[in-house]
Amino acid sequence: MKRLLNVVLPITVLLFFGLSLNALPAFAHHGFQAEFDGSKVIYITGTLTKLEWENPHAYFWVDAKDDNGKVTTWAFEGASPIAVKRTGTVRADFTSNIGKTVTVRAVPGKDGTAKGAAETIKLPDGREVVVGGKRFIGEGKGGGEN
Amino acid sequence: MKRRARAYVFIAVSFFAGFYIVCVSARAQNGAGQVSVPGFGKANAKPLPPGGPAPRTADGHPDLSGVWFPGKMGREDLTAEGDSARLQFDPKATPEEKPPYQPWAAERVKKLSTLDAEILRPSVNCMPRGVPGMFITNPYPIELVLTKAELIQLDELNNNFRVIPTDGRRHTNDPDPAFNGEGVAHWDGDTLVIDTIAIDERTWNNFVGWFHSDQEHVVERLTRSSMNYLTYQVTIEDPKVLTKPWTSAPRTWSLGHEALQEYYCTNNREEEALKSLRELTEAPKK
Repeated sequence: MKRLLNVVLPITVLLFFGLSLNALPAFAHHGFQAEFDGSKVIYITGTLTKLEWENPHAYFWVDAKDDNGKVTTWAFEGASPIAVKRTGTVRADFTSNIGKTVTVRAVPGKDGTAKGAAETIKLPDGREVVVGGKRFIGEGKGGGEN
Repeated sequence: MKRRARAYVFIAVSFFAGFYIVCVSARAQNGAGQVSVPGFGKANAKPLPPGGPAPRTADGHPDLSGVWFPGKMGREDLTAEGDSARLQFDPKATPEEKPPYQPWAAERVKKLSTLDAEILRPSVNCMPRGVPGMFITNPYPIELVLTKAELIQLDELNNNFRVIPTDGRRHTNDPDPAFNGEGVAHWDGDTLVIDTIAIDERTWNNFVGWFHSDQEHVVERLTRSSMNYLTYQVTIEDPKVLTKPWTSAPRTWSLGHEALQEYYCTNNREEEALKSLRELTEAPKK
């Protein structure tokens, strides 16, 4: 029994903490803490309808249909187009996919409306491209503000 | 003893199992797993090599000219967010002291609600970040052009610029406040020392409310430590707000090989969204 205690308990505790680090809420990117809930991640699939490619944030909209056919328009905020572009995602990744189905990974707004701060968007060609900084884990430091 | 041990194991395993179920359930509700691994952590966040000695100007000074990115990568990559190579300094290696506020100033900063702090921060309200913000709170590249008589700093962020005479002249008498203040510079060996006063009181020195007075005095020290690296350190004196001067950690910027782009902060919906959120969540102030 002692052996069981010596082995199982530490493993259980380690697994618990390991899982906690993976699953527990993390802080949102600074500048987003008040508006968005960095402790949650959402995946929204729907039709990409519009893009605003302007600084300091790219904005885009997705119409998502639920099981009952009700359409909700989601508004997503990305990082600045300049930073997005330097990461390899270009305006054409959006404009060539207007009207097509995409899946957005984001953290939701705190006000309960259909909005989010987006990290990535999965395009019809299967690429998942970066549209924002890391919103779901950790706070940027030392001037990581966008 | 055996019974107690069994109980410990039972409690621990039950806790773990329960927690696992809650987590799996929450992730399923959020739709986790619908897409592949997100694009983070894939970045090649390697610091640039030193790249050899700093180039020098005809009159022997380190040539500060170049496009400089904050951090050590010489470029921007959002997927590197959180990597120390993207940071201007590593707070674990070279921690910075908190602003040494006078008690009244500490109280004023403490009283800022989270939402007010967000609404008032220059990255949200699109105000110029000024001096020293264009270095210490700037995630975007700058271009420096060192001529025989001036250092010209072009900021991608908000398309700002400043021109600093490097001939060691004194400040003018009672200069008007400006976001970049009045800067004058001189060489101290291989370091360009920029002395700035008359900084507009609307700028913050960090993202969380470090305001300043009309008596703020900023001394920036810039040197090109190698071909690929620029080192920046700033000391802030403010006898009306701080109890003593504050000196930053040495900040690192690295040489980029791309042109600055246009960046006007014109389309920020955050300010409006945050104000709406304030109305929803905070009692009106009397």
